[in-house]
Amino acid sequence: MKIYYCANLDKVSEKKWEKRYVLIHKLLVKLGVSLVSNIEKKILKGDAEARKSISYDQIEAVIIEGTHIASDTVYIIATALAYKKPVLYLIEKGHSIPEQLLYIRNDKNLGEFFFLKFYKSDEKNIQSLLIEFLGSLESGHLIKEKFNIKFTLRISSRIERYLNWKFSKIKKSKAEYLRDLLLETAKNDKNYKAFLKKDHSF
Amino acid sequence: MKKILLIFYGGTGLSDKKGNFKFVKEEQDVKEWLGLVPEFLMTAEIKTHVMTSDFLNKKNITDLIKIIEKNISKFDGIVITHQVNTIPALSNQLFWQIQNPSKPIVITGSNLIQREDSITPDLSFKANLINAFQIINSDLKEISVIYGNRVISPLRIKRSKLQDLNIFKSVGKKYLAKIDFGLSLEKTNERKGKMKFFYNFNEDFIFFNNIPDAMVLEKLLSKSSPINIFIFRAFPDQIIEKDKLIKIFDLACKNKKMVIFYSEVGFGKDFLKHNIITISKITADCLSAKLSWILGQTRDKHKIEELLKANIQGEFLAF
Repeated sequence: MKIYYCANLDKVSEKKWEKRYVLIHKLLVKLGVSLVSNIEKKILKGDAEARKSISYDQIEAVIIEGTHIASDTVYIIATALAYKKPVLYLIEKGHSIPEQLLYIRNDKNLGEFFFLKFYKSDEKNIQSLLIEFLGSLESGHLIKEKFNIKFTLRISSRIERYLNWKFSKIKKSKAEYLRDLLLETAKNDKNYKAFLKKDHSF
Repeated sequence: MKKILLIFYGGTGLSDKKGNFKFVKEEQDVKEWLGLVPEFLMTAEIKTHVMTSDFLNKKNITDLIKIIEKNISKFDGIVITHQVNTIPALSNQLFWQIQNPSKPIVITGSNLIQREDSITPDLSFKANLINAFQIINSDLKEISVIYGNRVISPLRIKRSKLQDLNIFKSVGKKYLAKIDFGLSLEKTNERKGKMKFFYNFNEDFIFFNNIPDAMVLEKLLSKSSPINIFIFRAFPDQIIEKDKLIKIFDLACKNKKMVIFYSEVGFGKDFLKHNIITISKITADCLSAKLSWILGQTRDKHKIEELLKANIQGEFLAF
């Protein structure tokens, strides 16, 4: 799952916010998300890897730490919503909702994909919000699950013979069958379920 | 929130939830159209104006300039929608007719995507408009074109693809800005000078994309021909072998016609030994718009040549 995560780069010079933005970035990576982030270059200090250009139709959702709203945040949100990409907007408790966002919250068309959450400044709370959002994405409640990640699988002739026999019996394409098989495996994987619910402490 | 004037001049295709095309042709179309894009209203305070026709012609361009001049002081910037096929031509004409703009003027439009059994508007048009509003917010005081994630100056713009995230490229890969989620402006030399509006421009010339054969040239360059100014694009082999071009030039001079030879990449040094007029290192759209602007200011042959060769707005590029 590809997510765009952005933070207010003007606040990175403040230790508290740098730590916070980095924490969220690390949590997302730990949760198995493929990230594109405006905070990448800041946290990979010294690592010259350049961020590749990516368009909105290649990401599933946008997550914003927006306690202090940046000047371009509203455009990022607007574009994400235009592409019908869910947006999770995080605000630390004790701070007010930026005025620029009141319009979205009052508009039923825009509000459908916009999720504003207040979080306590402890890692557990932040993580649980992220897990909840990612879970909603994966469940298909927020977005229809798309099969748009290409995966090359090399098989032996023995496996191929089995698959050819199997497909002749069931009314599914090879890709459909294999996807369903993997989904079923993931659903029944107790360790993976535990990983999703796991209480990470830092 | 920034105050933006959104001028509809074609290129407005959006699809509604049922997949029907919606365009803005008249004022009454605006409300329904804006209803399809609630995202815009969270980014800017928008006023709209609908041009009476989508065609790119002298009357419409003149009207457009009038609207811009009348309103530019009242808004933080202006966004113009236009069909993508003629965005390079329109943006270049505005580049010459509105010099040193005091506010951002951004042009974008909706492309049509050809699928197997249908033609549909490109969904990235909404993003293009939001990006255009973001450029107004950045205060880039230029005339620019935004499409996909690239902001391009008119003097560098070229259409490179039929369908894609980015259908335009910038000569020399120099962009005014790029938008990868956030907007990054490139450093530009800030142009000095007061904003000027030019209403006179003249399209009494023909731009040939090649050099016609001798028989056609005889007729084109004859005294009785109604056209007096020609631009001929020279073939690659002609930019070194100049003899043919000199013959054409001499014929033109004899019949009091003006002939300009054009090559994007340049001409051989040997050309400098002759008074043949050659122009290079400029895009075709920019040259065409520049000449029409010049002809709106003067009809004196020497002045025309002088202005053509002068680098007035940084229009000569490294190809």
